[in-house]
Amino acid sequence: MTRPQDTSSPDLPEPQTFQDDFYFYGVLIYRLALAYGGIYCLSEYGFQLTNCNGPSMLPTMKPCGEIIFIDRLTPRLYGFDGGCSRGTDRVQLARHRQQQYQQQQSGEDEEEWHETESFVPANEFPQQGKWGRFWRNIRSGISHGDIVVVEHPQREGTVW
Amino acid sequence: MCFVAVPVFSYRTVICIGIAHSSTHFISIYYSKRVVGLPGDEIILKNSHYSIASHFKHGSPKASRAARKSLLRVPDGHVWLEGDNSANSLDSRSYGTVPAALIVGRVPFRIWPLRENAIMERGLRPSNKRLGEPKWGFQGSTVLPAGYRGERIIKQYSGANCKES
Repeated sequence: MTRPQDTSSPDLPEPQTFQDDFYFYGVLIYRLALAYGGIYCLSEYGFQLTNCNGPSMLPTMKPCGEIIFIDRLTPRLYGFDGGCSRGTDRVQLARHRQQQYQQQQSGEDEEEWHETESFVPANEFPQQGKWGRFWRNIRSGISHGDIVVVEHPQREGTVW
Repeated sequence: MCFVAVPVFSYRTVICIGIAHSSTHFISIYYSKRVVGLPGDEIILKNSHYSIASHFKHGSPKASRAARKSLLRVPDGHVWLEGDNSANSLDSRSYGTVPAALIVGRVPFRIWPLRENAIMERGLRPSNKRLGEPKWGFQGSTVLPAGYRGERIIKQYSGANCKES
């Protein structure tokens, strides 16, 4: 009677089963999805880096070679500055502020229109308080004078 | 078999996915402009031969009818965008007001190059007093803020006690 030949050897690796393959590819897909999802959410709802080309924003941005930081979070959070996206609301709010300003400056000429900081050219701001203005701007909505990145309104698929 | 995976990422994986994701973003074309008008503001069209002084009477609550025809009121939920280089910019003067839904985000500062003044402050386009006004001059639109009725405009810096009219 011959002994059956022993094929299992402790030195050789065990043959991979279907479950092992499934586990390997499952973990791979899971980690890839997590990594891609994290980067996608960060760039879609948080911030994004992109480069700029074109002379339309001279002298603020040079025609080529500029990498800018796009803040996508705060415009989503705050919308327009003051929370008004309707023109009539903004007119009423502006006139209310104007009346308050005229009452505050009651000794001066009343036929003046008090402008906010946003109507001053960007290179004429005083240098001091720069970081304070920056911090205040990123905590507010889109206002006059903000540099924004938009999708082109005349691209294909835009509904007017 | 219990399917448990620890989310440990190799930095190479994340970098590769990030580059691939960024390359897909470059396909969509974005435009960077400055917000000049918000809903309710009135834009004086450049080719309308209209000026504030000629049509707004001092103290009158409303402009004349002819003046109103040459004004464009920014509708609700839209913005008026213009580039700082008004002579060489394709902006709202060409395609009109832009829906706010098309705004991707705001540009608070520049990453590269590391030259001076990387923070892009909120304000009107940089004035050319220091930079030298070009021969063609300013060709952008004039914007009347919401609620403006022809008064003298006072500009005031916040944080500093100086006025400029």
